[in-house]
Amino acid sequence: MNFTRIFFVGILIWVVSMVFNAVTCGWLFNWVYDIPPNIWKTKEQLLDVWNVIGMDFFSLINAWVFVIIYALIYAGVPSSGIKKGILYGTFVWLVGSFANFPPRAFFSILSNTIIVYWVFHSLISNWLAGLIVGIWYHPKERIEL
Amino acid sequence: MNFKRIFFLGLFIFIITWVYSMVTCGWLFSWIYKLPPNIWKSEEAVKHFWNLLSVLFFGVLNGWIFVFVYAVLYKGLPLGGIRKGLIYGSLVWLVGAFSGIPSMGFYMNIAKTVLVYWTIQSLVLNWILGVIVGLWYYPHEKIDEEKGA
Repeated sequence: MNFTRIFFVGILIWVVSMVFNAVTCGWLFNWVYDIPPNIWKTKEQLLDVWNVIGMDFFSLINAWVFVIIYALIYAGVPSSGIKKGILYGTFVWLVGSFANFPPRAFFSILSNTIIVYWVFHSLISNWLAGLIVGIWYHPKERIEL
Repeated sequence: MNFKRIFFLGLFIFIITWVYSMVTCGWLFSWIYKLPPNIWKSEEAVKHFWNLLSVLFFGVLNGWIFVFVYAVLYKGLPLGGIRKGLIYGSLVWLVGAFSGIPSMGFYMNIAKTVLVYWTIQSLVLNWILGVIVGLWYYPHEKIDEEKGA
């Protein structure tokens, strides 16, 4: 397992995810959060320093978890390079977001549009993260080979 | 890949998940959903025919997905048997529930107790499901291996 790569690729995924979320949830599709019912935190609560630190810390942990698991099951993910990474992202989406988001619509008052948006948003987000690990994660540095 | 096992184990996992959810969310920890803020559907809305049918559909689909991804990654998962399944269940929990549930508290109004409960409840569920695939999923039926040998 290449811990240096895990560390830096995790940080790269974290940064890309933040930019992706800012562009999608924060700007392009921010209208989905105006659909009733309003169960979201206020802008002031969202931008509270501890909330921002908590959110960023948590997403960094998640990015590292994404890469650690890729490194752990590297040999078992089919294909190679970018395709391997995208397949891994798809699997993570299937057992993660796809399995978790739609059922929320069955018992909570969340609007269906939000759920559909989250499902597609997380698919693209996982593909992006998969693309990054596929390109930049290698079990061993090439110089060692 | 053993499609017959994927099919039947997926259905079994769906049943276990259903029973587990009934016992935990529906009975033992149902009080969690009475904590404010109330963002839950009414009992009538939850028990509506189309709602139940959707729960059923997604439950079966998720059962199959859980086993299918295990089957694809089988060779790459460490250890064997139950321990392999437990590791898989833990990994699914890490990329699924652990990465999605606690962060909900940062952007939506939901009781923190619910988030803690969901995170722990899903860990136990993923371990149970992991034990099931670890025990009963094989890439090939033993009879096939004997024929091959």
